[in-house]
Amino acid sequence: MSLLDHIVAHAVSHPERLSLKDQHRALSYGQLLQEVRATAAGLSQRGIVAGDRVAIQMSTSVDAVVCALACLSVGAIFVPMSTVDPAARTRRILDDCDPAVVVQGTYPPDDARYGGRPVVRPADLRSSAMVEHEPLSGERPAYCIYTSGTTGVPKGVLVGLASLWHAVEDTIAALGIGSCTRALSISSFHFDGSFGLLFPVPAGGGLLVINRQEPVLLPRRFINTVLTERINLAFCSPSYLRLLLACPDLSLLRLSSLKTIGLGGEALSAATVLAIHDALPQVCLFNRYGPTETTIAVTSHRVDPLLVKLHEPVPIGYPHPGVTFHLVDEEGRLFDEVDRGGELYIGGDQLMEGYWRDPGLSAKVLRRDLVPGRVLYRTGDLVARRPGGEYVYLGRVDRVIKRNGVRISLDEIELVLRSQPEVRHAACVAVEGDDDAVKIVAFVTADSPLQPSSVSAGLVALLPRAMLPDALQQVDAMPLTASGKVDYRLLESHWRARDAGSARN
Amino acid sequence: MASADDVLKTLQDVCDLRISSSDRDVPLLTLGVTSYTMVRLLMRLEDEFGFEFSADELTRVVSASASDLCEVVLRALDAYSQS
Repeated sequence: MSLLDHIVAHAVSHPERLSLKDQHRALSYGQLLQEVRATAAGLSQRGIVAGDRVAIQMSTSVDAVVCALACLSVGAIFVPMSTVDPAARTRRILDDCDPAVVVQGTYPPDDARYGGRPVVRPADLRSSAMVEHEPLSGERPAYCIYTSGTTGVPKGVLVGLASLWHAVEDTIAALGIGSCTRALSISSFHFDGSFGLLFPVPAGGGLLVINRQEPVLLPRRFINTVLTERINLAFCSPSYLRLLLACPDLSLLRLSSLKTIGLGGEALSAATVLAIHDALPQVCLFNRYGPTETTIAVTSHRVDPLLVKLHEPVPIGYPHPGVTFHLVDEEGRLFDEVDRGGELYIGGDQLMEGYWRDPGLSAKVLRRDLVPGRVLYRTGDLVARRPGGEYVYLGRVDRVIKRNGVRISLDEIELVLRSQPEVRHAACVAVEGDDDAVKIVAFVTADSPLQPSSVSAGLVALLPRAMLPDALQQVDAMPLTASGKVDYRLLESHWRARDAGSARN
Repeated sequence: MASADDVLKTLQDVCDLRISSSDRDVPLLTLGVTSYTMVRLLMRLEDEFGFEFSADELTRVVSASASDLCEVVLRALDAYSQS
């Protein structure tokens, strides 16, 4: 059975049960199936066939989910796009994926960013005719999602239908999604993290509540929505969870129906786990890990707050069934030792098909030479396996610098900083000074003003001298990117601006 | 009643920014205010001035400049005090 087959099955067995709800409307499973069929018919009438791209530039909404499912129904590849990207970036992505149609409702259809391509609003796409879902045979691409490349050029990650279904199925199983699930989605549609709820919840027979993203990002609105909609499952990033923790109304959730929070997108700290356990003991946290190239998430680790150790990273857990993890050392050799950090390579059922129209880049990261007969994706993530078999995320392999001949992982310094009792969050950047010397600057957040000397004293006890930060700056909050990760570039530019300011004064 | 200067002061404080007069019409995102800092700013404005943004206002201020933000906050405060 596929994703669509499951939705069809729910529509047949429980046509009146609610499936999706946003601020505009709510659809039962029967209505969802009807809308998907009508939208699929609209796509077919526009001549869209299997393999064509359909850009969906919409906020997370019922319409966006319907449109994506309609694309899957006719075999088209949907391309989720941000509604707030600069026009030039939108144009660049459209030029790259060359969609047959752009579905959106934000800008005028003749806006220059669309380059004269056909642009339709979701409601205009729905036809009075219907397309019955007929499973298309064979593996085919499901979606193409653009991520920022290290070179600054967005790259399209092409994910197949089978990989999507494996990820959906594993998420349903790991989080126990079913007909009693009432989930809240707050992630943007153009981040694949949002797919961790957008597809598993309707496939599992639950109700997905989608709020307008901007309002619901305010913790008080999130809390109100959880209470009024009797939400029992939500996904967010650890950074957002820290925002929630800072909200005085959080205690209102203590007696609420909220039972599960899925976390992903960045490392989860033990301090955050313990703070949530203290504030909301009934809530179970799932630490989910997975690069976009391996489809949404490849682990869903149920975090036991009693086993979390303050000075150690929170495990990401075990790979989903059908997914394999392989650790590779600096010489490019596979190894099995526990408690040793290595670069993670991922194999199995959730691999992307490749980067859109970039076989060279695809071949660089989809390696066929490490394990005979297997394709493995090179993640660039530094991971270790614990004696019990679960994995822990240690950082990125490319956040390693060399200073005075010493290899230094900035992530490692961050981990040690976070283990200091007074530090809540830490981020380090390496800044090259005028004298070409590399300076390590640590930014930290704390509940009260920090004494740099007391933090430094803690670091001296744990880090080699060469790894000690040159400067420590307390900030009110870590700047984050739109996807909720620490914005290292902004930290670096803040530091440079401050340095330049001090030089002028 | 709060003034535009009060709003700007909160903005500068939360975002660690000095908004010059030439920056007032530049979107805050362009000035390096990330979406999460924006959330913190909006939370702080609500707490400090004792009102709640409507959903429409929140959607508007996400891509706002400092001037836009002042306008939305002052209008929201006015509406809130009359409700």
